[in-house]
Amino acid sequence: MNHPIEVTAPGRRNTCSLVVVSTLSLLTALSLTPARAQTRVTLSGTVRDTKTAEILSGATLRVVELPGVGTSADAQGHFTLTVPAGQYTLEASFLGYQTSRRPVPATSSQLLDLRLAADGQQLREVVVTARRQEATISRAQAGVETLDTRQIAKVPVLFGEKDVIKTLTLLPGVKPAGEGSSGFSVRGGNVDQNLVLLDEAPIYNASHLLGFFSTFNSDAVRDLTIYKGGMPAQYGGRLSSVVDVQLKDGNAQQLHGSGGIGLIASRLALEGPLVRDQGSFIVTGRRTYADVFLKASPNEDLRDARLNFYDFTAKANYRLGERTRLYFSGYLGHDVMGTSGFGFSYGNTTGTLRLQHQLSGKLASNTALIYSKYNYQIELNSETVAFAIASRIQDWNLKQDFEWDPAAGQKLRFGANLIYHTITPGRVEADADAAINATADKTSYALEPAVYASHEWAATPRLDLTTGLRFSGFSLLGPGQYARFDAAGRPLTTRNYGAGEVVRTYLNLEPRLAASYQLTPSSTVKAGYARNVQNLHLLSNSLASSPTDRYIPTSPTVKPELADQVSAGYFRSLGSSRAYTLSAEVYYKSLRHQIDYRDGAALNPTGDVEGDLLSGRGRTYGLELLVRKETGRLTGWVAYTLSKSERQFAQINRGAWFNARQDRPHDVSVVGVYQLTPQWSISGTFVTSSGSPVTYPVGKYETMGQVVSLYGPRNAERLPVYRRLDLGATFEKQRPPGQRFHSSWNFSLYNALGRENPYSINFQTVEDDPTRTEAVQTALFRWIPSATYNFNF
Amino acid sequence: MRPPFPKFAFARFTLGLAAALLATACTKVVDLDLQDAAPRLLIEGQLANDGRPCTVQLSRSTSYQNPNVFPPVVGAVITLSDAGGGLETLRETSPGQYRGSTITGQPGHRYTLRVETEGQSYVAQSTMPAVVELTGLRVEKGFFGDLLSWCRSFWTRPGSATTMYSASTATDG
Repeated sequence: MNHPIEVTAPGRRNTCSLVVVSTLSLLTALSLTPARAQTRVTLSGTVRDTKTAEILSGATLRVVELPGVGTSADAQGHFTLTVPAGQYTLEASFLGYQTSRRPVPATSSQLLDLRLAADGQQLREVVVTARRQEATISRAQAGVETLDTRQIAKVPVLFGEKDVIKTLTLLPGVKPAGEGSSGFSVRGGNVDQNLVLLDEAPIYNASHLLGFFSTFNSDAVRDLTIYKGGMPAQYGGRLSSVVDVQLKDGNAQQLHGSGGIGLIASRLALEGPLVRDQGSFIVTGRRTYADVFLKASPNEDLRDARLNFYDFTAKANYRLGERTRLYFSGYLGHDVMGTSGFGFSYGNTTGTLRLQHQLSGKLASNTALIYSKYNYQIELNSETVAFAIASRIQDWNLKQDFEWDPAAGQKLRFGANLIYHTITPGRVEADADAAINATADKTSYALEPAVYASHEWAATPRLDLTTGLRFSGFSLLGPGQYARFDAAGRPLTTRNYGAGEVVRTYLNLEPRLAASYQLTPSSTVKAGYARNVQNLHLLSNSLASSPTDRYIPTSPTVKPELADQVSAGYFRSLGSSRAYTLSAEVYYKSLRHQIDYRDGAALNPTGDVEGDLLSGRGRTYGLELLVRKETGRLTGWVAYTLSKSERQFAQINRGAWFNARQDRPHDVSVVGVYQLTPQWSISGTFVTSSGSPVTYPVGKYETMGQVVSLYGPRNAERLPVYRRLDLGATFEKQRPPGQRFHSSWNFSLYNALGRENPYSINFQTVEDDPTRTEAVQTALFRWIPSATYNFNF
Repeated sequence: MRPPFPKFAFARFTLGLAAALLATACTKVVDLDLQDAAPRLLIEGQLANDGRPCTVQLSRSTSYQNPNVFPPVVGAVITLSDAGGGLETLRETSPGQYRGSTITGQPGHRYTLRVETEGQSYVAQSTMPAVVELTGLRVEKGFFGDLLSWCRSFWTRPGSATTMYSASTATDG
């Protein structure tokens, strides 16, 4: 199973036998549970907020009379417990909520609707905590972090826009791709190796305004979970991480609104019941007005410039019956920039329609139809020149998941999905007499099916095991022209494929394994292994992701990327009231079929590129340390990552290993929020890391009258150390009893030290002395202040 | 029929422009501790169909921090041969500058340049391609304000599609 199975067209014959293999391994696991004579009953249901009916995923449930019997609510707030028939007390708890106990006469299987009341006092104090404490100790998965939108509200960020992705990069093992960028690298992986899901729909470009904002409007986001290793088998398609963003369901009881007015962006959200207790909705919108400031520019062209974005998020759910609920989520984002005669726009559109159905007390089904589109358009218009470049990547995904609780301490998830990709790289559209020739339509079509099964098993009160297997395929389909290349990248043979004809099929098995063992009530060790496969590849030349970066599918030339990761970790809570949690994790990841450009390749967003690509391998390894303080007036965390990320290509750097672009061996983040008075809280973030690897010139020579740099080994040097301190303060007006309107002010100062962190270094001839050359460093963002007024009612 | 013309490479528009507008970008000259590679030999030869003989320059690369002075390589033995017959040794006219006398460029001929210096020899071969006639030229001004102008050249492309052309533009005043 360690090698991908490559089957050329038509390539469906292996499917059945492999499904049998995965089913068999699951049956073996099930038969390990000894049969018991006693009558067993199943307690299942959902945990929700008393007031808003918002589901509480991650809430912990415990049977008081049966030590060690418990579970946590899943992403849909759903839980299942199987216990011997009897009289019990069920305890439900969740960070920021009052723990509730409820007597349950468990004589027969039943559906329970549990409600927890938010703990107002505690809420203020736990702004920067995760629901880690309980979850970390009991879940088998290592390398998982969950961020709640409430937690990030006070962490200072660029331009004062609270941002789940930016806050994510303050966690160990997650590094921003560059200053102000929303692109990020997880455990040494590339920026395209993260599967970013918004209610199950993939987001291909998670950034606004060239990365200074992330795609997600935090008002609409309930929480974000990142899997850095040991991904559960239901996820697949990217090598390095899964970022699962869940939108809020909306308040099912009452109409509420919230919003914010900031220096360069404003937002508004409305939520409420569709029909009381039957369904709810939430709609949020956001618009920036950065270009307003350009109107003050002395330059005439800049005054006409456009630079803004909007996004719109909506979600609704409706109860169709006792056991059936329908969900719809949609996202629409659009960025525009340009001057007179030049326009550039891009954006994501997603939609998810999901039917959740409880087939029985033990079996739940989720059926989803998911749409995702990312496109960009460049337009040039002047009196004499007119042309446009358009690019698009679009997915249709049909997905069926089942969750089955066959016996106490066991959960089986299984399902299948089928994605249809349409990938149109930048295509020039121009009139016949334009200065640029129109280019041919190079659209690629592909089918990506997958089946998976995952088995969660509390093998003993202390040992938890999750075993999973994913079987994924990728078929590149015609119509289209595909070539094979020789070692130097010259096309050997080219073939035209008809519509629907299979160009090439790749099949891969992805085993997943996670185990945890509870050493003491407050400490756990965990280990995991995961293989991931990636069939869509981003071609990028720069560290930061650009909206025009190009995705290409796996093809006869470009092989599926593969990653194998092993990881282990130690987790423990410290202090008398368990105020501190500590985690230490190590990982090693091996990457195959990595892609890079040939030395000297012309970067080309529109034409054929496959001949200019090289295939190589990568290795990344590291240690991640995290200490969090979750309660009290001071909350926050300290994270340190020691890591290495390298690549090897036969044709680059004379075949020697070189540092990957995202290799930054030392990385420290400190996040703190201090509740000064009931009204005021102050916060600070300090980040420092090794500089990014760069290739510096080691000499220069002259040819044809021009001075040319002679470059040294790839990525052998580093930019200076990166260091930044951000400060924030939040003023929350005490809400008089009985009044619904509530407001707060948020102030922040980005890069308070004013350090000029190098964004890029250019080597050039001195402007007024052509006999000399110099290195010029560009730094972005010093002392960026911002203020935001937030309200809700 | 309009003559076909080679595609212009699509210029990636400087997105940094927008970033610079948005941010308070600042630049400064920095002093970097750059490594120095051992000086490398640079051989640059020109032969055209303009009736003039072959010229060759030999120089060495220098440290990036140094001024743009590239040490000439003197005393090399350089020969040029034409596959159609003819062989000559180039004469050093000034330090590092070498010049032939009899062989001139003819389209379709294959030439071999051989350089011997400090115990090493270097050989390069090249066939002079057919002449490409320029059939038209058009300059269009006024784009991005006056930031960009388009210069379109028209010519008839002979032979295979993989031939590359280099076009130089210069502004006068």
